[in-house]
Amino acid sequence: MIANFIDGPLWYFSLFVFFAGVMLRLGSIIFSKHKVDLSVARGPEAPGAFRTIFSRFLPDKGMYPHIKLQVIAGYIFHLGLFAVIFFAAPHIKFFDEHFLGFSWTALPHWGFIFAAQLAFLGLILLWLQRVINPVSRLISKTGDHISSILTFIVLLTGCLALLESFSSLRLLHRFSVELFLIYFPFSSLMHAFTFIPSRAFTGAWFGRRGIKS
Amino acid sequence: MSERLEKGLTALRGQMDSKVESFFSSCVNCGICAESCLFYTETKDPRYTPIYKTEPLRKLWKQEYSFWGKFSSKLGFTKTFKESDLADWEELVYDGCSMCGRCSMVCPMGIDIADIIARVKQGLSAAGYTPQDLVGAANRTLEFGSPMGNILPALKAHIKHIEADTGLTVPFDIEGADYMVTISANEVVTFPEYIGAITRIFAHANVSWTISSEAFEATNSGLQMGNNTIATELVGRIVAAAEKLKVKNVVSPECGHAYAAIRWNGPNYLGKKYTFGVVHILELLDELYRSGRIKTSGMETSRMTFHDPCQIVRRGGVAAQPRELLASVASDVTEMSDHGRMNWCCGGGGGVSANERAEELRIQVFNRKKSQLDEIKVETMVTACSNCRTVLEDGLDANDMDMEVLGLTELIADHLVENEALVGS
Amino acid sequence: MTKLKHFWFLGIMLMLLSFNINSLSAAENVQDSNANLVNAVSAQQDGVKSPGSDLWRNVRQRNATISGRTQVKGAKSGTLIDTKGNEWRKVRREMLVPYGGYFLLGALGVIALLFIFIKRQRIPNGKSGKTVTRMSSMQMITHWFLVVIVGFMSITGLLLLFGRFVIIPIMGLEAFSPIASASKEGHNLMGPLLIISLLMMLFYYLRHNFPAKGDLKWLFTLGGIFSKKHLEVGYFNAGEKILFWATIILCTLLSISGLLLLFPYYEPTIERTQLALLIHAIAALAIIAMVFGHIWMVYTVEGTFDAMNTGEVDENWAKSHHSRWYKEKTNTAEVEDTDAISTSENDAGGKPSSKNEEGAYS
Ligand code: SF4
Ligand code: SF4
Repeated sequence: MIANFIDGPLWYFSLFVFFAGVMLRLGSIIFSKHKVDLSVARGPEAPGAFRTIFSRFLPDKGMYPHIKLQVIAGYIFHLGLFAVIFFAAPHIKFFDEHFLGFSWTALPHWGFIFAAQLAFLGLILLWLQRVINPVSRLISKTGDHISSILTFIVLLTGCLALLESFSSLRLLHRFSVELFLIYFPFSSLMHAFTFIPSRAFTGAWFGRRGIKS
Repeated sequence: MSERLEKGLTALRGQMDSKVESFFSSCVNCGICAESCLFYTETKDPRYTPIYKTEPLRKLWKQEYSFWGKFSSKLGFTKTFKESDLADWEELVYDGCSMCGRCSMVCPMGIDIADIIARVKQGLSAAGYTPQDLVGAANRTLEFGSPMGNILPALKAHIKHIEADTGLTVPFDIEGADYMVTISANEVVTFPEYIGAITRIFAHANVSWTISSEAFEATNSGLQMGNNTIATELVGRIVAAAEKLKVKNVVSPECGHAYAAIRWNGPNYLGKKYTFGVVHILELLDELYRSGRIKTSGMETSRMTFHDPCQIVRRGGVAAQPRELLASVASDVTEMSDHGRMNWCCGGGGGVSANERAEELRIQVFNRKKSQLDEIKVETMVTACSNCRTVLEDGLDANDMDMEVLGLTELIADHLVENEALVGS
Repeated sequence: MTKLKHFWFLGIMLMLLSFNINSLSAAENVQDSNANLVNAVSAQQDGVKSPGSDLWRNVRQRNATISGRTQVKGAKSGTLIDTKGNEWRKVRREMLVPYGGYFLLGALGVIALLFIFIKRQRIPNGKSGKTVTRMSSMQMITHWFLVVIVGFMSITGLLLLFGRFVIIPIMGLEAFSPIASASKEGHNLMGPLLIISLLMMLFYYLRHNFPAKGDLKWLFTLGGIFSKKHLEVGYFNAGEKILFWATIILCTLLSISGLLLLFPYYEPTIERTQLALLIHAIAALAIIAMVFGHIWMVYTVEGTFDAMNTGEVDENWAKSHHSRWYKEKTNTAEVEDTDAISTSENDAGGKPSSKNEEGAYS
């Protein structure tokens, strides 16, 4: 009964919430008021925007020694997570069968394990730093902790179901993924998409003034 | 809900646009921006974290604009926005932020935090949570034309001296001049050398220029306190004078926020494009220098460094010009560790220096500059903003540091090649 | 469970086919037993005497290890059945699990008694309200990272060791098998992170943990808990140092034995694998018991937890529990400052023009 619900209606519901929510939120960025800048530009905006989208992947040189943990753990986590989501064999199979109709090379088993370990390492460190560093402790909202914990649970249940021989474990994983998808558009997990317009806006602003940002 | 709060909220709501939407959607509360802000690094008080200073707007966005907020208010959960949500932020935003924009350069999500803080100021000032000193300065400007009262007599007196000393004339209200020069009150009162310097330089380079007796004051208290109505009025005066005199360009003084107000914000305040150009004095000098109209001789030999004023360099884009100009007259220039677009603020921008309440904090955060200076051991610091200059001198005094602070324009004027033909023309 | 059955059957079949068995009696049984094997296994569960047990007994030949010839190349492919596995099973069932269980319960009991009967040690003179920085963020993060990893490994590990006896009676076989599988996957996955936390631990804590003056005295008086005598203690007291070194040693043992278990193919003999397992289990039980003790110690000395919560401890706490460190801390602040200034002076004097050349005027 529960299994059917998780595999059926809840799955479609969560997908719907995820896609609709992400679209709405991106839409609200694109379609809400844009202020036109009337001052005479010193430089073009578009290259600035483009530049900043990529330049912010690297921290400023002078800043780096102070934010090492966030940068290193951040990279470890995001790369690990990316590899786990898109290059795990069961996921590729799942995408292939349900969405895309084509597949690509999966990570070998040990590669998957390694990527998952990286993701865990980064996630735990980032979350600890969120709780321990007085700055992020002050500014973090409940939502940030929920996001971290949900991501952790999704990763964990995924890895516990690695043997792929128990449907209860697979269902647990699927259920946590569904929760994650439903929560996604309501939270700062949205940064996975909105970092692009954000950086672009700032990059355009600086580009207009002829500053590299 | 009090009327005051209502006003503040209306002003804040007016600030919402696609930028705010995407910025707040992206912030992951990583705390990286804190390390870029001198108010945090010098006090280690997490409340000075840049993004935390935007909390009033962020809270409102969360309640009324975000997905979650809309959803939960449909369900009947509304958290009310309290008056203290504005009141408690007054000190953080006005005393604890110099609008230097360093935070905007480091956020991994690319959030222009300084821009949002400026928007928060709009809400705070509409609700009347603005430091008294800033309000006073703005009122004086509205009434007498300058934050320091009526300084036209003082200006005229200085000019008389200059004319007597150099034998040059300072042209007032000349129609059709190429450049209309504006000045900041601080330059008139504290650093009148600046006016003498530009007089000599322009005569040397044979520039057609003028000062408007109606609108020479370039500083903008409206921008500092975050009141667009006042800011518009003040910029409007300059624009009106420039249009009246039919000048080709308006020259912004060294003062950083004045440049931001006229050059970048002005057209947006007024909602129209200018009919004239706006240049910063350093841009103009650099252009003259490049085209060979300014000839300098002699070199300063003391060990020097250049302090980048935030609004001119990081937020204004005039970064290469001052360096080129300085290199033309100084032989021993050493850069500070984070220079150029990542320079550390003097601590007095954004109205902080005009706000007496913030003085203690301002002196504390000067430690940032101090440690930068300690690293390089220079004898002279050159800068290009009268406000930075006052703040730097204060800070050096407070720390018993023996260092000279010079304005770049004066330095150039001191090294002009004597041109006999020009004297007296 | 069905899956395991298949494996077992398949394994036996393969072995039977690929071996030349010398024993005549065994060879006789091969033919007629093959077909019965499936029935035999399933019948076993119902308590019926298995017709296959004769075969088993014959193949096993008591405890003698039979080595045969085979085409298969491998470390142990010549051995049909190694009885050491069964011996290990016995050790595990009859020694490790019960005694390990008693040990853990005993440790819990002792801690419970301590919690009940030893009075909490208040900060002398109460909180001063002023704090000193004791831990850097990285030190705290390192500690809590270790906590997360050890916590996760303990839970999954305990489930693997004792789960069978606790979960099955409570939740039944159906529930236990996915739990066991999940625990195993999780344990194997997270294990290597223990090595990373161990390295971080060494990096951020090692320098405070070398033996120092007064450590022996601290040990003899048990930290002055009963004598109320004032002891001069540095950054860590002897107890904390012992805890640190015990953690390091146990975690190293756990990591090494764990890695050997993760990659059994690099382990030529089953004895060594079993030894690794035994060490792994004992070290794990020891570290869990130690964690109980650690928790109690932190609880019983008021103000200690702050060091790992905010990194700031109360001045009065520091004065009474780590007086030498407190003195050093309050003095070195000044010493370090003057140091910094003098070195930067030297630097500037040594190479005055180097910065100059790097200027951005090119
Ligand atoms: S650096 Fe950017 S994303 Fe991080 S807390 Fe600050 S504003 Fe938010
Ligand atoms: S603008 Fe400057 S002073 Fe203000 S928060 Fe950002 S870094 Fe700090």
